[in-house]
Amino acid sequence: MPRKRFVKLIVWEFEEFLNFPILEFLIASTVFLVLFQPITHYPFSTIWENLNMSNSVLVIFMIFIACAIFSRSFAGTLDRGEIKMLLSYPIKRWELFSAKFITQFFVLSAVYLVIFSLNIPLMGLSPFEPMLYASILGLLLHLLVVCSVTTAVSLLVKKETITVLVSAISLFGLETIGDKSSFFTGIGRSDIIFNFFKQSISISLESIAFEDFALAIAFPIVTSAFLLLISLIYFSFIMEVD
Amino acid sequence: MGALVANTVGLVKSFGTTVALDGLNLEIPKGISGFVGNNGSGKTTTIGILLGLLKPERGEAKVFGLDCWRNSFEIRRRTGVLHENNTFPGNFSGRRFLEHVADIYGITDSKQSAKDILKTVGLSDSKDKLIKGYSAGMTRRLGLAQALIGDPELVILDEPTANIDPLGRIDLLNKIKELHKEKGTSFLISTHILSELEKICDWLSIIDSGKIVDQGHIKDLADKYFANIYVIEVSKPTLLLEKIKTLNNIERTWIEDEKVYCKFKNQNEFFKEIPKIIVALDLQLKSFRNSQGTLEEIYKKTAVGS
Repeated sequence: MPRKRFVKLIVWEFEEFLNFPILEFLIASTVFLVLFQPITHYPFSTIWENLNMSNSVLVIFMIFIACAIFSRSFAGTLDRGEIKMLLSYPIKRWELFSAKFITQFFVLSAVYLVIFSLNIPLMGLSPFEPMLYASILGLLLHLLVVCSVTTAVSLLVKKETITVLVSAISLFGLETIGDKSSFFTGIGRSDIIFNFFKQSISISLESIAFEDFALAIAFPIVTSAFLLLISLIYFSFIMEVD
Repeated sequence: MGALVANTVGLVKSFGTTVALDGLNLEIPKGISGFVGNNGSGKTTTIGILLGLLKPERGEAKVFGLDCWRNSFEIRRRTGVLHENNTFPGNFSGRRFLEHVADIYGITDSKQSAKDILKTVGLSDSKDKLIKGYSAGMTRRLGLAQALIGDPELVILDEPTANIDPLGRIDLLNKIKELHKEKGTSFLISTHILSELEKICDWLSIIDSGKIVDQGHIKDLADKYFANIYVIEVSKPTLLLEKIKTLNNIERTWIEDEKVYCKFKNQNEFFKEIPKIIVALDLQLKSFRNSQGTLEEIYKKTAVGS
């Protein structure tokens, strides 16, 4: 029964997400920004550079999209009283938290994968191009960080607009002031992962040590796991819903 | 008093410097109970604690004998609730939303259950309309439907008749009575419309500033506050009041809505004295009756109303 209820909750969340009218707008905007900007500025001969450039744009744009969707799902529903309604049903708090996070994260991931699949023919890439998958790995790790930061801020602030502002500005600020080659920033991590794979399949002037690559992978996973664990404990055992 | 479905002992809850509940001792027996109090008296906070949405600072809160914070899941499994300001997913149809709720309650045939409950609350015709297109009254009916789904043992209704038209209100009150009679469902109804509560409630709890001012069976409360009280309606009430005040048999007398209320010590003496006074003062007697103690009058008599 608990498993069945959890699945039903995910279906509920998924249906609600699909009804979110701004989703279509966000997808269209992302496609426009990601697909057209690199092509305008770079010749087709440097397709890998185009790909890496589009990753950087996506990292920045992802902050705003993921923040908007996650703050709507957590802070927005808290603010509007939907979580109060849901928690008045026989639903365990951890089930609701997990259902919300899993649904939003996987749908957002799917959106980005669709964008990438559109990227393939436009950039003249092969679907078997390994650098494509290196890019996807970097972006998904960044998406995980953005989603977990927004979730934590949502539960703390409980107001949708303020959550978007706080999460997006702090994440965007980190990207702006942080070292572009550091694993602390999304662009830096994406770059490290991209170049690490690139040097392993072709001659590259840049050299990425395995330690740096491992840090670029571990940092977002550990940070997100920590934030999500704290958020889950707070949501399940401490948070009051009024 | 029968078995209690919910009770609190010395419940304390504050929000910052505001004390919402200040040692609340609430008792809700099986049956239909009314929970009344002024705005900000602590009704919604109490409901939040009973459902495990809020954590009490001190004291005890139990529903079905279970601790409200630690066993909230089990309590919610057996309870339906309509909050004062419910927000439903606007992009769902009423039918789809109720199917989801039925699924959460573990009802095998959620489609049929949603269909039946929509019929019960009179929303069958609008079942496929998006909730965001519902009127305020229709949304309230939908709220009632989701509270009744799965045949809960206790249904908590916070302002259930708000935004519902007069005929709808009558339907709703009849439905509550019917459910209690047929299935033994207990109801805890928080409302400001006392005349509606009066038609269906057996028990009343009155809250003010986070404390229970009084509670009990409505009949007992009426006896407590209105025993030996008569209401006299005459042409010049102030004149009669002045004269009555001089009588030794009178414990207390006052004017309310142009009527003279008298609480006496001895009924026989009172019945002898009053006609003589009215004749002597040459007053026109319009009515002379025992105060029935309506819910509104009981409410006025408690510290909340006075």
